[in-house]
Amino acid sequence: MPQPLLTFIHISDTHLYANPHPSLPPTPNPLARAEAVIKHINAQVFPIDFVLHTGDVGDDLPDIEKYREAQGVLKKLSAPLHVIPGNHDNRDWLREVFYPHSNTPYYSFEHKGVEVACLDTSVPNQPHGEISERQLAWLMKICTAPSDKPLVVALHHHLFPLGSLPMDTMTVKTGVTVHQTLLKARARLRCVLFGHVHERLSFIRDGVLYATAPSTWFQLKTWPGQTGSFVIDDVALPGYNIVTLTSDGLTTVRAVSVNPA
Amino acid sequence: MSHAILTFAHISDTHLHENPQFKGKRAWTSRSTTAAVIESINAYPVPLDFVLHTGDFGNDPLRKEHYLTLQKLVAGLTPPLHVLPGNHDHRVWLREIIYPQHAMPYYAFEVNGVQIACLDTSVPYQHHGIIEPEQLAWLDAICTAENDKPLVVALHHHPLALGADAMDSIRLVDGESLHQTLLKARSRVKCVLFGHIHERMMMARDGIVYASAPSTWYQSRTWHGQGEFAKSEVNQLGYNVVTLTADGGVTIRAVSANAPAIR
Repeated sequence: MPQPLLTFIHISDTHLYANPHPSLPPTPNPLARAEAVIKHINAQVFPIDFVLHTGDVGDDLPDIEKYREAQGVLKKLSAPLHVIPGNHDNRDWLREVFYPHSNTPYYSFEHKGVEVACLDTSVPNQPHGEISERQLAWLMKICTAPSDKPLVVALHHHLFPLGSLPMDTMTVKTGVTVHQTLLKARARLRCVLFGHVHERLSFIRDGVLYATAPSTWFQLKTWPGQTGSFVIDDVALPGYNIVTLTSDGLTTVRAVSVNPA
Repeated sequence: MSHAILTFAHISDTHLHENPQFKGKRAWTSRSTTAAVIESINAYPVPLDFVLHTGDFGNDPLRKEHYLTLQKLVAGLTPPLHVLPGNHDHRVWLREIIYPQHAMPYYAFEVNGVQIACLDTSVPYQHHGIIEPEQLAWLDAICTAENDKPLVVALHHHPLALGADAMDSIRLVDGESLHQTLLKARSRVKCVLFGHIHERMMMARDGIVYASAPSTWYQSRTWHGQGEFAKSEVNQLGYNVVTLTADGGVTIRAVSANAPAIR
C-alpha cells in the first residue's frame, strides 16, 4: 500500500470583511462562512499537514490592521497556514502579516520532502493576473532544478481561459508561458492549485492537473461559450479540497462541501 | 480561447429502482434525486453532446424487465445517453435494454472526432471490479492504434487505491494493469472518468488524470487511513460537465444539484 507523504487542505477566496457588491445580488457574510469552513476543517479526524489559501484572503481591505484582524480569524485553523495574494489583496500588507520571512510576495517552502511553490499573480488594483519576468525566472529555476522532490504549485488566477466571459478577462496574461515553464518539471509536478473563479473545476493540460478550490464565501457558475456578466450559483455550497500525495506518484484531490447554516 | 470540440455531462450511480419508493435508508428516493439531476442537465445553458453514465444505473434489479422501467426514468434527458455497467447492475440485461446496439458490455463510440471507450469492470454479484484479459486486450488495441484522436476512457470502479480500507476492498483489482495500458496512449488520453465511490474527486498519476462524478443519490466520504465506510451528509449530489477544446485541453466543471424537498 503506497504511503501518504502529505495531506493538506486547499481553501480559497475568503474575501474577509467584504461588503455586498452593489452590482451583485445580496451575498452572505464572508466572515461567518470562513468560520464555518475553519470549524469543518478542524473537525477532520485525519492529520492535516497544513492549509494552503490561494488568495483573496481579504476583500480590498483599507489598511494593514485589517489584515492582522483577518489573521486572527484564520489562526483558528489548527494546522499551519500558507497564503498567497489574490487580486483583492494588497500583496505587501498580506506578506508583512502572514509571511514576513519572505522578501518577495512569491515564495516556496518544503514540508515532509514536498516542495510547494506559491506564486504571486496579483497586479495592484487590477482584477487580472500577471507574473513578472523576475518571478518567472525564479519559477524556471525551481522547475529546472535537478530535484526529484514532489512539487506542488499554487497561484490565485486561472492560467487558461474558461471560454466564459467575463471570467476570461481576468486570466493570467502569460498563462501559456507559465504552463510551458511548469512542464519542465512535469516528472515531479503533482498538481497546480488555484482559486479566483469561485467555482469547483479542473483543467487538464498535457497531463498536468490544475484544480480550484471553491470560495469559502459564495460560488459563481460558468459554462463554455458564456457571455454577459457573472452568474451566482445559488446551489453549490462553499467548501474546500483535501489534497493527498502518496509515495507512488499519485495525487488525490477530494472535494468537501460545507453547509454554512 | 480555443474553441470547444465536445461538451458532455458525466453522471454516475443513479441507483434507480423498480420500486418508486425505494430509498435504501437514505433521505431521498433515488428516483427523485435522479429526476433533479436530469432537470438540471436539461436546463444547462449550452447544448450537451451527450450524457455519460459511469454505472450503477440500477440498484440490483431482479428481472430483466426492470431495466425497461428504469429506462423510462431517464427518457426525459435531452442529450443522448451512454451507460456502462456498475457493481449494482446486471451487465447482460443492462446492455440488452439500454445499449443493444453494442455487442459487448464494453464498447467504444466517437463524437466530434473524440473517441470514448466505455469499460465494463463489473463482476456478477460482486462489488469489486475486474477487467478480464480479453477486454484489456481490446483496450490495449485502442491505446496502441495509430491514431491521434483525443481519447476519453470511462469505467465504474476506482482504479487506484484511495487509502481507505472499506472502499479499496471494492476497487478495480487490477487497476495497475489498466493504468499501464492507458500510459501507452498518454498523449491521447484526455481524462479517465469513473464513479462508484459516491464522492467527487480527482486523481492524477504519471500524466493520467482520473475524475469521479458524485452519485446523483447519496454521498460518501473517504480519507487516507480510513477503515469503515462513512456517509457524507453535506457533500452535494450533482454531476460534472466535461469540455474538450481544440488545443488539447480539458475543463471539468463540478455542478451541484439540490436534493428534492423531503416529504
